[in-house]
Amino acid sequence: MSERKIKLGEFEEIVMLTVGILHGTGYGVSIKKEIERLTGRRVSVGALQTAISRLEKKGYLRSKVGKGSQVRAGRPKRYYEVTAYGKTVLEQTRDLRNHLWTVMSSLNPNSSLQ
Amino acid sequence: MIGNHPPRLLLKFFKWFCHPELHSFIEGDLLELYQERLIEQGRNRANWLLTLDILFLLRPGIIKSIHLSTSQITYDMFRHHILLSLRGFKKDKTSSIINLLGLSSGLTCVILILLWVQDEVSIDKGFANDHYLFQVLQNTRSKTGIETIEATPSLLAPSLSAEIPEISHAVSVIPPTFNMCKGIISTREKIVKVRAQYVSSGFFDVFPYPFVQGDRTQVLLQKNEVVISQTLAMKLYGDDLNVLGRTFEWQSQTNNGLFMVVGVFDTPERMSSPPADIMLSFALYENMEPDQGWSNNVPRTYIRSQQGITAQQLNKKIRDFLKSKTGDQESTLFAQRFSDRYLYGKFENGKPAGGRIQYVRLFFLTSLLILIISAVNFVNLSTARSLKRIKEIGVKKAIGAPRRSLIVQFLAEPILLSFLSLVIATLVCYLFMDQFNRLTGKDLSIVLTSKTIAILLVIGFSTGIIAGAYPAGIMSRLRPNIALKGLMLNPIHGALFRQRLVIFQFVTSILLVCSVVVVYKQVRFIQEKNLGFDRDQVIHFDVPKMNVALLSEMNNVPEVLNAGGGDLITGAKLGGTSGIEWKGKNTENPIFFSVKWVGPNLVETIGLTIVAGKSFGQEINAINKVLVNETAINMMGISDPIGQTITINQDQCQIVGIVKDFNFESLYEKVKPCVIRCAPIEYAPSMSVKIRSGMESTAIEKLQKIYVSHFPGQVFDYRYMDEDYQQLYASETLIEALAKYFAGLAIIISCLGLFGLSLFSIQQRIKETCIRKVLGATTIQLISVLSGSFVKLILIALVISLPLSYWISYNWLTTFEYHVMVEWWYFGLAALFIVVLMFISIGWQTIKATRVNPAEILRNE
Repeated sequence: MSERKIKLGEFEEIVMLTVGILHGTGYGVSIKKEIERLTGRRVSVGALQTAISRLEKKGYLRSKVGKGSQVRAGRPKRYYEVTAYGKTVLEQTRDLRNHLWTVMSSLNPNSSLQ
Repeated sequence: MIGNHPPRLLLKFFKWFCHPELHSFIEGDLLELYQERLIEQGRNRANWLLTLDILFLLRPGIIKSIHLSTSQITYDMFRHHILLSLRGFKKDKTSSIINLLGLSSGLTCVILILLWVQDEVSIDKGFANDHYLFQVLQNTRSKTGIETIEATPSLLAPSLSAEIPEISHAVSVIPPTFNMCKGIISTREKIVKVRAQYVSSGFFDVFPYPFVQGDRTQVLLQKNEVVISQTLAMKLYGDDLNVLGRTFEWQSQTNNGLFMVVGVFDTPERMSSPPADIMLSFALYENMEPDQGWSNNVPRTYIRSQQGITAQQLNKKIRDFLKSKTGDQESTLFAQRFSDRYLYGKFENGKPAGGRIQYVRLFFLTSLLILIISAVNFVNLSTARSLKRIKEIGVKKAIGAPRRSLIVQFLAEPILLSFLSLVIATLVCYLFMDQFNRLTGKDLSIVLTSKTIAILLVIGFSTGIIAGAYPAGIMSRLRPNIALKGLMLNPIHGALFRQRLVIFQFVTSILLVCSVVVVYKQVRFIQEKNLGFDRDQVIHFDVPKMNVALLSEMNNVPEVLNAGGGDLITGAKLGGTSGIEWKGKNTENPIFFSVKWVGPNLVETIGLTIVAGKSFGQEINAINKVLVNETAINMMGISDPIGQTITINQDQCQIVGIVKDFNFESLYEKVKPCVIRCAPIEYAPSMSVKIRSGMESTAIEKLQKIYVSHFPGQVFDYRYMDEDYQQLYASETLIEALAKYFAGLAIIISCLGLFGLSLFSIQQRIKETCIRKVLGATTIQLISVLSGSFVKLILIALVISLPLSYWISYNWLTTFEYHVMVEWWYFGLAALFIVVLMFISIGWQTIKATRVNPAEILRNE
């Protein structure tokens, strides 16, 4: 457990989770499609790429280069997967959310949010 | 699948800004998405989505940092490029000289015209409150349309400043062009001829002339006060630093008296008309013309608006001001900025219609065109030449030269050339500055301020870039494998483009030549047109005080045909009035008449034709008689005019005769209705004398003796009336001269270009020509084959340019009321001229080519 404050943005969290779901087979286009499929919201290539680069720089993701294909005119792909550190960060974030939910429900036993 | 590429430009753009590490991965993603979208949604949608994607990829994390683009252009490379350019010049001297000549001429043109334009644009802008200085003009509706005149009632200024809060000051001015403004100052030591101006109080609040002596808020309060210009003060009193309180005698045809100097002003530079030497109180004018009613329009009105008031607000307020005073529904007022009067002084039917600004724009555009033509020459020649350098480029690329360095190399040459041409052009400008100044009537010079140098550098640089961009772009694009073989993919692509450029050059040149012909004809026409009065052999000169004896003595000189008082100032819009009443006048449609004042015998001297009745004759005082011109009679609708009495501004006058219409204004306008009144002889400020042809010198000698005997100490300063008339059309004469130079330049440059191009193209085709010769072609056939393509180009150019020049000429000529007709032979002449020149340019080359010995050329096959 690190002492540093770990801030994960909402979109970044979704990206990381999706990369986790794809289990190492995720690359630019497939990550984008998966997010769109799972969440129903449009993701632009630019936003996705920026988030991924940032996550990689922070050490939450790691990548390896893959073969290119004809449909990409030979351009290579970059496959991403979640690092152990990244997994820790995700768990921490989830735990934080859950904690807040618990506190809220304990204060309002009759609230319609149950 | 492979054929379905996304737009290359988009991908290139992306590659340009994207960080290299990320680039190929992201590009792959984009391509993948593109293929999918292509299938699912079609090409257009796929393209559009790709564009959006790329645009949204412009983010900080993705854009590469500037340091990443390593510059491989070091000092050594720079030297290499310059060396290469210099060698290029030496290797192909003819081409280089052609380019140099062309670019220098183009640049000289542009520099001279820019100087002229700069001067024109700064005229009349010398006053600090330029933004708030306006002149009030009047639009009056009459049967002939809406007239815009400068003349306003003298009551206007005081009323405006009293009643309209947006106006801070208003003044009435009688400008120096009026007859009553010419006079002579005599002090004890000197006698000087001066031009005066009558200004109402507050003049210097409106026009803040700097005062060298005296307080400008306290001058001209008394009728005998006068302010003089610095130059006049020097003339009269030398270097005396305090001339306030000095008096002198001033004599004009309307005032005589002693006046006291209460101020000395400095005239600002760059005024459109020469300023007055002395300024007198407006009250003097009011004394002379006591009837200053609302319908008597004579002086000019100038106003200064409050800070922050715009022209629109001003105009809204004053528009109906005059209507409210006179009840005359047909006149509206509007204000035009004083400094705009010079360039935007033309009005048609009450609406602004340009004026001198049209000439300014025209000259500026034409000089740019000429520069473009010479730049086009350069492009043509260098694209053609660069075909020889394909191998060099192939080698460089194979070794790994980045595209950028090739571009720099190909830009270095034209930029160097431009700068050299710039230097040459500046030198040429210096040399020709005097002649140019004489042509334009200005005093221009190239002052090498840092601003000027900066502008010149920018011009030089941009010419170089424009000229070099296209060849640089094409050449740097070659693929090394193909270039090393000495080929260029799509060589036809180059040829078509070059052809189009040549056509453009010739279209412009033909347009210019046609315009020279048309302008020439029209200017000749203007100069020779019979205006309805005699201009030849008529001299006029100012007279301090007219008298009967002077008139009869001059008339008695045998070499003199006629001498009369006054003179006819053509073109100047003097005063006028709509306050003319006659029996049967239709009060609904007021007519604005020009009023001309003449002296005794002037009508005869100038040779106005009387079609009915008689002229004033030799009567000394014919103040109650008036002559009316044909247009006026027609508009007034009087059936039997001779003998009838009309009222002009409350003066009763009897019509004694009708004159044939004569052009007292410029030939841009139709003849307007005009009344001619005869002033008493003492009022004539000048005289006109018609001299028998061939006897000019004797006549002038005798006239001078008579003049001097009447006015000792005076100089007999005479001018020819037709010279003055030429002055009126100074702009047109300027256009004629400049058009000649422009056309000449354009043609020379275009022919130079054609010459260079044909040189190259014939060289390319030398083998083909020899083969043809061997196979039995005659010389004629060879010539027609070689020149065929050029002839085709010229024909296309002719087809495009002739209708265009017809249209332009027609439009210009119809701005004149009186003009020559556009005749077909103008264009025929221009076309013939061009064709002949073309043959000269390429002819020699062609003939030389046909004489080549095939054996020498075909040796290496």
